[in-house]
Amino acid sequence: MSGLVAVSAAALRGSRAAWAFGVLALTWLAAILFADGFDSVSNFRYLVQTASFLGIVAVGQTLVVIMSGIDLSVSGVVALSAVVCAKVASGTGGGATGITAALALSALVGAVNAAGVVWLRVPPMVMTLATGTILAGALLVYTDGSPSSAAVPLLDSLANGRLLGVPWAFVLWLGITAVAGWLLHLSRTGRYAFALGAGESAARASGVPLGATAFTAYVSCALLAGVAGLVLLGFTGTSSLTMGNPYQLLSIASVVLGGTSILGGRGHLLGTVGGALLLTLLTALLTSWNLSEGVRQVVLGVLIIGLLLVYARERRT
Amino acid sequence: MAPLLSVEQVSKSFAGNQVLKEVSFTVGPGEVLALVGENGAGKSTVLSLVTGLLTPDSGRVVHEGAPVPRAWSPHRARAAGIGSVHQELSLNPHQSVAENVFLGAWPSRRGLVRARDLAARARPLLERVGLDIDPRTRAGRLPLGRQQLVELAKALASEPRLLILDEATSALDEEQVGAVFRVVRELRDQGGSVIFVSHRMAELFAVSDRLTVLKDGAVTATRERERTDHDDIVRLMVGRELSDLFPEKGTGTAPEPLLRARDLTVPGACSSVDLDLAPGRVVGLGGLQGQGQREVLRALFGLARHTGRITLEGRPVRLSSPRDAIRHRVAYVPEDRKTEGVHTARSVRDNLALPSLRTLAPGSRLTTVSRTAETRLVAELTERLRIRAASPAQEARRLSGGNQQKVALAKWLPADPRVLLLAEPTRGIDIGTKREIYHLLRRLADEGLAVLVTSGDTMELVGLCDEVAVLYEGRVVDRLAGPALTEERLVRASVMGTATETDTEKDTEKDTEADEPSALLPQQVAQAIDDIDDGDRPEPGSVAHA
Repeated sequence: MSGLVAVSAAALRGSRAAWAFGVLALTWLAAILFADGFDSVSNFRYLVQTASFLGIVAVGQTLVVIMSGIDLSVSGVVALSAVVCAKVASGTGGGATGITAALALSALVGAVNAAGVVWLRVPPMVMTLATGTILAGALLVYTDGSPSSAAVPLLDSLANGRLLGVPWAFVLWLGITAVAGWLLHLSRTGRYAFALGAGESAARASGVPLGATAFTAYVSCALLAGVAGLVLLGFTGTSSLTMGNPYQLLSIASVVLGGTSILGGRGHLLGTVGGALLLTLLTALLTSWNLSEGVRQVVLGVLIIGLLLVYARERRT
Repeated sequence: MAPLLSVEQVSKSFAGNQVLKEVSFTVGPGEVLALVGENGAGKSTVLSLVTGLLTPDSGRVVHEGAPVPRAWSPHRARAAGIGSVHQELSLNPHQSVAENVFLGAWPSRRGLVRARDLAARARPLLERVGLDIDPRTRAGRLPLGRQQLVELAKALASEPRLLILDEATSALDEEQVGAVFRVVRELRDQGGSVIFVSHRMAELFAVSDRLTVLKDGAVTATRERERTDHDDIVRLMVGRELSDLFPEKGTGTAPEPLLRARDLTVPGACSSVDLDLAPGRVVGLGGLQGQGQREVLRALFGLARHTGRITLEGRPVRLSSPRDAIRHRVAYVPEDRKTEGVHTARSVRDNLALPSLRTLAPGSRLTTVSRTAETRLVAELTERLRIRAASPAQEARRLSGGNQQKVALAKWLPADPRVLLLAEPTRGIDIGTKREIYHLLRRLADEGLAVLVTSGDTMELVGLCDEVAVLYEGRVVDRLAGPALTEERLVRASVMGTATETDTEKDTEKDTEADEPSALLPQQVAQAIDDIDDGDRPEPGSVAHA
């Protein structure tokens, strides 16, 4: 018995991504047993739907973290994309123009992040924090602080519609995960990203295209944050300056709880999916216990630290 | 007299792999014990048990008559009088030398650490290890060898009764090694003990009283120094005679150079270096440590900003990044293999495939990497260089130094390089692997590669290279080839910084004993060379530097 435990513990230590799903399953079981309403199909459906918003951002964040970067501007990009799309769509442009403009601007932010990190050699944390701050300010100027609404049919059905009973948002998330998973784990660019994350000087000395890899990661990350912003716009029908705020920390937490090393070079994209589902479930659980917003945040923070200690600590070298 | 330290029947396994099998040895007061063995023989592991980094699975370590407690740790070991210096540096590069020397135990007055006190207290320690530097210098600004000596001063700061030197001399030039030997002898004369690990056989024979040989995690023998010699020890280490350490050199006249560098200058490191690298030739860069050898290589690989003219096959090339260099089929095996040579946290497979991804995933960067082609490539390279890894999925950091070095070299071979640059290709590597690497380099040269090697090991340069350019303060001061390429002339040019003699003198010089001309050298250097020659250094070509 103890031998079996040891063997399975060893297997788990080998794959921290598997831990994310293990903890997720346990939490879900506990939620079904001890909390109200978690056993219904509609609840399940709602959960994966809301997890998709976080999940899409977190997939992008994984790409950046693997190559030992970090993107703290995702909250700004989520808001940027939603606000721009809403403004353009409700004004003269129409839905398609709005979406195109929103995604183009998002990608631009990613390119700026990458340019700062690669060419100006600004540390990623500082660079992306700065672009995020600039974005927040620019949006305030652009909107005068008032939320703008827009009904874009495509986004509405993407966020709220279903395909054979499965929310479209979830299908979109899985599709994005599949493409990003192929990019990260099968393609040459992915190998370069892992090499860069595992050690920049060895990567440089092996001829890894550092600049191109960083651009791919940051632009993809910003683009996915933009997509999440659009889906959120479709979900709520309205956009605000602060709508992206929860996704900054939670996307990074999803990545790390998914077993990816925050220092880069190690991890798996699937773990991030587990991490995003786990965090969404925990948030829903805390909400179902009627905890106030403040208490909820405190408990969530403590839980994140606790889970990190259990399975996602950086090992000593 | 009771031993100061005795290691009794210790065994240790990592993940089912037994690395120590009932190892026992003792060190008495006033004794220097050399621990000898190939890489992976278990030397570092057994020393980690003594310093508290690891705990044994069975057996025990007895220090000053009492078994060490279960909660033995590096901190406790230090407090109990065990000091250690390792090959890997543990200095904080951003702090001053003095702060590093007393790290964790800064003398303070009412809670304030005063830089002046610190510097004043560090000075005698630095003098003891032969360092004439300002204790307020930032540690990271010192060259590698001096940093290593600061490590030694740091170990001495806690006044150890037992000093462990684990490959602590591998980055030192001969003068610096002499300083370490003085410390070792001083400590021995005061009744302290020293455990000494080095891959340089001459060093072992120069200072040790006894030698304990480890092979595959077990002690094969312990010998008194007087009753043994190099050949005996090597036989015990490798279990066989090792006669042809160095391969046959190239023959015939030098072909047309492939790579020509003229006026190669890296600001602050080397100036106006001219080099010709020809296919089939192994060229060495010699000199004392830190005379610009490393920067010449880094410039040729596009890692260091440089000026000067470089031509490849007669055409001028710009090498402003490693990618440029790789495009021109120049490959580089760096000195610092754990941060630049291999990705230690990645698998052997990933490391070997990294420079070849362009061929494994042709087309755009979004192309899928072919797993089958990758597997074939990795199997081929592992086989060709006889890389010993548990599996291709094993992390590179779990490999021995020699196998890591083989990975760092092997990964370039599929790219079919024309020029191969290697910095300190055998540092910290056991003699069996050294031999393999020497023979491999010669084979690659015979296949038409131009090879450029830097090394702090004079015997290696003499044994391996067709020609050696000696650098002194960033300039080429002498070029030695053919019969003029001897250890003695190489050392002389290195320490004096001039081409020593004319053609007529060369002939009379050839038969002179190695010890005699050292009268010409500055006294301190002569002392250092004498120290090393203590263990009657053999001729190149036989088995000296293990």
